[in-house]
Amino acid sequence: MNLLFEKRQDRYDYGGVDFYISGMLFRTFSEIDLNELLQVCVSLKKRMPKIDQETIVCTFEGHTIFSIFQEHIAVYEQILSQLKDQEFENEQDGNGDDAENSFLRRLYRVLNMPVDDWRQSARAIREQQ
Amino acid sequence: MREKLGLGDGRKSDGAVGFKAIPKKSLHFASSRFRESLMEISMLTQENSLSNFVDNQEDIEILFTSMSPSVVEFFQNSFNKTRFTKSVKNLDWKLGDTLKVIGQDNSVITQELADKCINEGKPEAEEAEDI
Repeated sequence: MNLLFEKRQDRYDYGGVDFYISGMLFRTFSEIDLNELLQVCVSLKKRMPKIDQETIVCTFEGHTIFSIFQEHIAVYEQILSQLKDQEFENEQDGNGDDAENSFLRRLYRVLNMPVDDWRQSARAIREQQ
Repeated sequence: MREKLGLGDGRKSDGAVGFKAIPKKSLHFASSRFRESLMEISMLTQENSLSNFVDNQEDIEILFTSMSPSVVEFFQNSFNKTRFTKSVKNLDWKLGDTLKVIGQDNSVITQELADKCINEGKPEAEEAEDI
């Protein structure tokens, strides 16, 4: 899992002397993404919130949002309605040529990334049998 | 016991399980709404193609037996569009032809190759001299 930190310090003027205080909690992007997924999970029985665009194209230990919520159609439909409402303009690639929007290219890769199955708990299997 | 030994849960496997992309698994989900949503999401991207959803004739059969407006729209838009296909500007069409499906295993195509494909191996349409 890639860890990406952003170090930010706030400057305080204390009696003419500058103090640099790190006022930021260091968290990985992955943690933030998983927290947001948790929120999505909690709200499955309520109104579906807006899902962050970066979360849609993230991977989580080899899984994507599509594989994690493969039993929740509400998540799929929320993603679809969000993406349909947006306009994705073409961008220039490294050669300066007109190319597809980078988010859509990433989305294509995420959609077509092979994913493993979720391991079911022994209790869930007993209930099915 | 099988679960404890990491041998799987003993259930019969089907198309919805295994190390595959979600679009291919979604064909075998009980609800067709998943694959229809995925098809509509996939159509937003340029490189979507039918092969992202189907592996074999059985998969195609599933799509044909559960036709819906989303599936029909997907069939109409399930062709690769790349910077190579965009570079083909003027094809030498045969008179009366309006559509030709060029099947190949890669997305790279040139003007010359496309002309040969739509004119059955000839570099230009036979009627070209008459026009």
